[in-house]
Amino acid sequence: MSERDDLDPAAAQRVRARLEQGAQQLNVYTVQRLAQARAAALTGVRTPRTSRPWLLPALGAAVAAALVVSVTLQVMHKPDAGVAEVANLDLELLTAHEDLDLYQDLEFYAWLDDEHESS
Amino acid sequence: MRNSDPLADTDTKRRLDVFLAQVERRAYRMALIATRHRDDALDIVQDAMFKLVRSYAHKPEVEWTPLFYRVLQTCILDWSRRRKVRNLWQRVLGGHDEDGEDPFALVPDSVHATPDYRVAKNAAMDALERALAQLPLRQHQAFLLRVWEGLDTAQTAQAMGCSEGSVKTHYSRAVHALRELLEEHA
Repeated sequence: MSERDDLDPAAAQRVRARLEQGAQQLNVYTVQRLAQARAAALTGVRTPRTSRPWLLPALGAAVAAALVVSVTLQVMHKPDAGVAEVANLDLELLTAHEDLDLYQDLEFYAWLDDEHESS
Repeated sequence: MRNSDPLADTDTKRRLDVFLAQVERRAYRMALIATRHRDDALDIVQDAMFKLVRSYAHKPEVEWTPLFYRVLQTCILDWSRRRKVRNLWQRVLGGHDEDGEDPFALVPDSVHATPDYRVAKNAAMDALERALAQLPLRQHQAFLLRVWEGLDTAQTAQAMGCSEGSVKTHYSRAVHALRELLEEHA
């Protein structure tokens, strides 16, 4: 390692002093939280975690995604169900032994029946 | 042989308490420089403390320092990976990106300090920490462990979970990147 790759001792000392200054000037809240974390680690009882602000948007996004999936599935499956229903009906008609003309002439037979009763 | 409950020994517990009290502030500042999120940094330090106590309390005391920093750096790396995944999902789902700076991290730690103190606060320290935060994670880890914590190359390699050659490379690059700034504020 060349000299340019390392700090000279005086510069390293200055850097250490500056970093140490930052570490010794923590606010009361942070110092208390660190002490609580230390005590918790030594007793084996965790304190509640605090850094989960991303959970709310993540939860919201998950709910939105679930809704989108649900609606998409409904839209995708509903036409299929309708088509299947009609297809079943068509299949019944096509496979029935009755004469298809019977279905087509029902109105005529109904009229004929009315005429017969009124005469 | 591993003691099943090293904390049952009150002397070990007391020495661990002293050790953690000695390193917790530096650990917090390291985590804060990496995460720029105060609560994330506190959680990382708490995780590192738990893991050290749970897994390494039975080890000789001289090994606690490199082991603690190994655990701490692993926790920071895990945090970094999780954040990347979160940011990816948030971008996909159209949410905000967490790469942005935590506004609370910009508040000086000494929020209760007097105006006189704030005026007197060394601007070089702020500049140094800002520059460190801009370095790639592995570079600033190598730099802080070597310069601040005073670990040698082998101990830093153990703490970072990489080879000594990698430590030298990361450290050298960090020094080069910071040199201009350090000379400016020397």
